[in-house]
Amino acid sequence: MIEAVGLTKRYGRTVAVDNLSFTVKPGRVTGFLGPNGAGKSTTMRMILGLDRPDAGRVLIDGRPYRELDRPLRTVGALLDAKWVHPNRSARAHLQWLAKSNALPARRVDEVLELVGLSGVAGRRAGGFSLGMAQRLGIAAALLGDPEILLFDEPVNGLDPEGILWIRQFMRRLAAEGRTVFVSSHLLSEMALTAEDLVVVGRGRLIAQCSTAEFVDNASESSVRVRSPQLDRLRTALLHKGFTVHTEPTAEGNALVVSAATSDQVGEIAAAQGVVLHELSPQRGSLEEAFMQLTSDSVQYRTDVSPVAGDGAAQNDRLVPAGK
Amino acid sequence: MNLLAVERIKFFSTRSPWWTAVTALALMLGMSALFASVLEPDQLAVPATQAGYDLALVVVMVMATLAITTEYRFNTIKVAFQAEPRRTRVLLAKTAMVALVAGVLGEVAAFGSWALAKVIRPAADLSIDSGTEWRQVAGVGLVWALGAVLAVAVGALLRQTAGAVTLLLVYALLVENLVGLIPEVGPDVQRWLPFTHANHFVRGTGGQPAGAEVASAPPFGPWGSLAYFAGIVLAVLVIALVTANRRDA
Amino acid sequence: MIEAVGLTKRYGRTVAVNELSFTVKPGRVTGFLGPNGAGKSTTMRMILGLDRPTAGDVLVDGRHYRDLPRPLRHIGALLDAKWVHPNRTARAHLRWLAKSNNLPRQRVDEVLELVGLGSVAHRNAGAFSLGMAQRLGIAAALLGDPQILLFDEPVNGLDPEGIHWIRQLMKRLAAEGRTVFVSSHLLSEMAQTADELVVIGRGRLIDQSSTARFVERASGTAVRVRSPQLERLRTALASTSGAGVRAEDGALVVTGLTSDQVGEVAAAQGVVLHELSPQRGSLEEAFIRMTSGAVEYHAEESGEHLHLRGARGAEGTEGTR
Repeated sequence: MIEAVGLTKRYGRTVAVDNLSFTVKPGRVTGFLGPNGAGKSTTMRMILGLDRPDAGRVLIDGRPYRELDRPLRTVGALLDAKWVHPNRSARAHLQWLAKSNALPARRVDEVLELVGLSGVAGRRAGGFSLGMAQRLGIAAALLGDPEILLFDEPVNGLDPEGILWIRQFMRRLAAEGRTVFVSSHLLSEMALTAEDLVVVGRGRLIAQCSTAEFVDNASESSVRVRSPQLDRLRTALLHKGFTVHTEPTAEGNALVVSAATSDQVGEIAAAQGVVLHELSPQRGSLEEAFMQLTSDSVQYRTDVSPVAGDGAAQNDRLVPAGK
Repeated sequence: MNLLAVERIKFFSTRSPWWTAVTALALMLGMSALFASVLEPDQLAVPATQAGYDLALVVVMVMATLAITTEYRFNTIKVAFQAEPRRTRVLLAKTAMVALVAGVLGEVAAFGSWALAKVIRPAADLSIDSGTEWRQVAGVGLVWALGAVLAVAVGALLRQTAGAVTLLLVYALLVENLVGLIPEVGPDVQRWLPFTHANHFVRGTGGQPAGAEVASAPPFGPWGSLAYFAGIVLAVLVIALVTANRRDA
Repeated sequence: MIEAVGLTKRYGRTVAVNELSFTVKPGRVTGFLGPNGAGKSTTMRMILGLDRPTAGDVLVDGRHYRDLPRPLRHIGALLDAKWVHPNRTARAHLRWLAKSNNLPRQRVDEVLELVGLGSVAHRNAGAFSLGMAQRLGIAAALLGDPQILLFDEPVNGLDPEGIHWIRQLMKRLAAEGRTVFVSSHLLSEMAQTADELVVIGRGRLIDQSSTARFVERASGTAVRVRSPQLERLRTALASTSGAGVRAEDGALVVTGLTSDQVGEVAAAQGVVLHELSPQRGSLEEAFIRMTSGAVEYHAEESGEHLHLRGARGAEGTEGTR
């Protein structure tokens, strides 16, 4: 369990984290989302006692990190895979970490095997690819068999097999009752991994809820229908007061019915004796929901409109002047 | 011309060339000022005003090495070869740019040092009258330009700063001098080494090889020595160009 | 258009790319997928003439990269965002690149605006975050307004807004008729972006096809149906030839039939439908299935070393897999 209460951090006149309060519960993977510069990394560093809050506090199982005895047995963290001495071997890196928290030496080989690095344990960490460094960082986080795990962009540099592995791994850790707190920019990945979300923007809390709630709140549900009698169906739907628009697909035109459930649309079709070829509830994506809620707290906005993305006004920019 | 402009933008848009150029200039002027203040006016002649030229040459070669090895270190060479796949052109443009800078810097440093000595010791006879004296001052720029080309070539061959700088420093400052100390063959070898000839060109006094006094004196006159030095530089450059075209970027 | 024919690259005794042939067509975003060490980066470097193939050939619009005059006007590439001198400003970096291909100087400011770096153009590239460096790399790729674009892991380090932006940008470039070739490990991202796929493993071609076909072939399709008259529907479907039916939390999952066919069966029986959604397998599942055996570092799957010995019982190992 991680609890932040009124957490605040200023750098000079910039407020990186602003009166942030949230709770990360055990038994679930909690995603930590926010645009660049939202204060995610600063928050993670404060959780680990690396940075000192200017106000508020953050507690791990009720105690500040600095008061934990043998902290690696309570909290394991992967903040940056490159925080390794490049000339030290992977095994030596883990050995000194293990020693520092009085963990048995054989634990080092166990975690190396767990992340699939046994074969290269004797090699210099500086020669590792980003994906291998990432696995080494994960091994370090697991060293003390901790109840609480923090990961910052864990899939960075991993290949598809590695991404699948870390996703299943985090879920397994959570299923065992551990607290797993993951920050990531990859929303399509987080949608598959995180059950709960803590969303921040400009250092402030934007939302804390389950992933499903977050998506449902931000985007209204719609239903996609295809039918050989599409016009009859459209008339019936409009008659019932639904908003409908047509969408071309590979299999012919479809109707998208806004603010409806598939049950409602199915009943209307049946009442009209209309044959259906598809009747799929459409869920908003985590990305859409996220963009909608954080749109005013983005640092570097590009001039292609982020939601519409038609960019007609910018098209001419792609052509160099004077050509 | 375009590629020269490319190299100009690259060269002057980072700080290290400025720092090394200032260091080289300061070394030249400092040594000249030192000699001018220490020597009596009747001992002070034109060559003494150029006393710092070889130390400063080493700094100039470091500058030239960095111009190419940083491209490898930061992988911008790959971007450069992407923009212009004819690698010989890219490397020649860089070589020309660096040589030009080194040459101009050399002339500024040489005449600046000479002028500084004149200001410090107005009484000394420092007028540049003879061809020899012109060579002793103006020659600095030529040697610096060639030294820079050599450094670029070595940098392109080794592709890393530490190795290339170490090799050039150890070679120019130590190896050539120590070779002369080897009994029997040493002096005979030394008289064929490149920097011996570069020195001979800038510091040589007369038009004749001075073989009579020093065993390791070069076999040519000063201009012959310059041609010999240039030949060696050119050979290393050709090797570097051929290698760069053959290997993966 | 990019064409590779029998492309091969050996480093000593290791074969990085092995007789690879594929075509990347204009007007679509083509994803370039493969496990680590499959040879993707080597292939991209060979396309750009940076590495020399040991055998075979790769042509850009019918020509070798080295024979393209002003190549940045034909093909723009982002291979690695960190390929910038850290003490050079973003603008100076683009200025020398523009100069090398005789592009007008104002084009530099245009692309800087386009990627959203206009306000930090005077800052040294070394001080950039990975996301900003990535945008600078994209600006460099767009500099010559090229018809062909190569991106290696373009979303690396970008935040959600940046990821969305680059996805839209790539789609728009393809819609304008350009050739867009993107390599990435983020399959959930590629599933949204790529129309076509080139999949390689251990330096060899595993598959080249459209994304939809790749997923379909590897994981098949299924249709999920819900109905208040589920039993009647189930009986009807069970007697339809070629259909496989199983129940899954209050719904039926039908394999071997399209959603059109299931809908017709339901209509013939007068069954009301509450849902009829075609279920597509994920690109990830398809990819893992097709490339297993071509992976470099396998992590341990059993999880037996997850725990400090003695610290915990054996309960954890079942997990959620």
